[in-house]
Amino acid sequence: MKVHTKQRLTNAVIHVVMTVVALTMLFPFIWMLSTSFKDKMHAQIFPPQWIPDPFLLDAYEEVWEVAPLLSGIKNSLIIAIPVLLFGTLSSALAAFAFAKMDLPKKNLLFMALLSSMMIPGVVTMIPQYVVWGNMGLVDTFIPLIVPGTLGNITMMFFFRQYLTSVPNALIDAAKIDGAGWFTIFGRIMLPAMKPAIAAQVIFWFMGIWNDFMGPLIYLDSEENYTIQLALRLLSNMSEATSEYPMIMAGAVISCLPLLVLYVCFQRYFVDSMVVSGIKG
Amino acid sequence: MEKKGKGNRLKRSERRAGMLFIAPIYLQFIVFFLFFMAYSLYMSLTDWNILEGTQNFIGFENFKQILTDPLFWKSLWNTLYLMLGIPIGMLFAMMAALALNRRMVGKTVYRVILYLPAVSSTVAIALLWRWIYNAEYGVLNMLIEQFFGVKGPNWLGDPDVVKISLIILGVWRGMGNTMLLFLAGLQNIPKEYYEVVDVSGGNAWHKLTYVTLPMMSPTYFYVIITGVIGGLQAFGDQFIITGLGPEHSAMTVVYYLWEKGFAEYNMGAACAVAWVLSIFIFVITLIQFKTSKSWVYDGNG
Repeated sequence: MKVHTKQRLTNAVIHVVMTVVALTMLFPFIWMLSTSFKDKMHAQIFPPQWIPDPFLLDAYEEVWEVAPLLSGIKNSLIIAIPVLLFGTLSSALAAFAFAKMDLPKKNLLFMALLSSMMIPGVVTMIPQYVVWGNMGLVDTFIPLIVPGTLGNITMMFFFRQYLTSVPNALIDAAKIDGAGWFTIFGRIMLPAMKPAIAAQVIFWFMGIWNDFMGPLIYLDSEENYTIQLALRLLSNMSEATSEYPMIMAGAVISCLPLLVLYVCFQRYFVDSMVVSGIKG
Repeated sequence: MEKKGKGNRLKRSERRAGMLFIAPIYLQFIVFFLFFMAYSLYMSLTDWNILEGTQNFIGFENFKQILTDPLFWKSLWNTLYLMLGIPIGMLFAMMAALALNRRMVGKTVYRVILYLPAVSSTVAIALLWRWIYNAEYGVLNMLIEQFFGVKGPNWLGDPDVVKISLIILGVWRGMGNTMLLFLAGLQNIPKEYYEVVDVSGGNAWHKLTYVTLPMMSPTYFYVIITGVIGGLQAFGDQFIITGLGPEHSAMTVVYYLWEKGFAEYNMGAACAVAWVLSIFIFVITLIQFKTSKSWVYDGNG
């Protein structure tokens, strides 16, 4: 009884503390939402107004015309879809080969790939920019798409870890039935990797959606801007006139797809974290 | 004899298929990593400027200039200063993870809320904090005035405050991620270890200090390694929220590199900065791995 009461008391204290922490963490988001439903005047009045009065949707209606947000979303998807499709396939194929197949100098080949993760991306960024420039491909999506379609080493590493838990007996049985390696990959490996693929694709999508430096370097004209560049343009144009509700509306719009993914696939976030972070 | 021949043929076909499967990712590795790495090394030894059209070999001149440029050292200092957010974030994340590592109603809700900043759009978050930190109309200074009756600091305009503002943002954004890693680490601690403390008459404090905190060391190690590598490459937040900051107080190393490359178009110097940064990251990571043996629990006692 005494232990029980003590535990309840601890839980109550934790609830109070965590509620304060959660509200502090949420406060910027609440302010973002609140501002986005105001007009320019009410966004700046003192003391701060938490519940917009009047409650307006104007910023959400007008923001699309001020900055190329819609084409920004479209462009981000144009980059993300081929990269995710081909890059995931390429990573999965390589992971399968490294986990389950006989390769000459397999460990050496694998370690060489991993070693590239130690060099920061800015090292190859400058010469890549120069070469794409010489090919006349700056201000197109090509430099942002092509490298990614060939795979992603982090993803490949994660898949390989995951595949070690898939029993070899499945492959042996298929081999006895005379299945080729492509069939084994498509019929057995891909289905077995489904949860890992889902988790990694979500993470990679977030990375592409949030990429700022790549588009900043390669994309010059506004019609080619990705969502992040469009947002920055929105801010550059609206801040001088204090159109904060508009900027915040744009911010909310750019966060929504990620938040929807997070809420729908919350389980995968925790799972992939555990495998890649601790056991990997 | 025939059986062996068939086995060899199967083995050959397996190897052929395997090489085919790793071909795309190896193409990427060879072209976009090895080739461009060599290219970058070469460029760092030239005065390659795409505006002036020069590309002469100048030896280590770029490195000499960077290492004697006070602005480079300032940007390195700023970058290291901003990494104070790593231990601060770890401390908060650990407290949150310990609080939530129990059977309790609503713990998923707290977990989701704390992770929210990590799954938000990067520029959106930067713009949001730029607005919150606004010295005159920002909600933070309004709240300070409302509750304490004093004028708040100029969060983004005062060179002594800018870095603290960026650290607060970094801790807020990264804490949920670290907390999830800590929660996973906490669940990996074998229950028997706690039972030993019970048997020898220890209390909750002993469990925390003799079992929980030391057993979490592999997770700390992972968080620190990835945090340092990421922290040394900080750029986006600074670029959007503060720009270079007053008196270059928010200029990070990658920002310095960006200025060399895309403001001065001095690509050779930009590559040299990238190499200095890589060597720095490599050395720091190596030191961390070497010293880790003395404090990271490896499962062998």
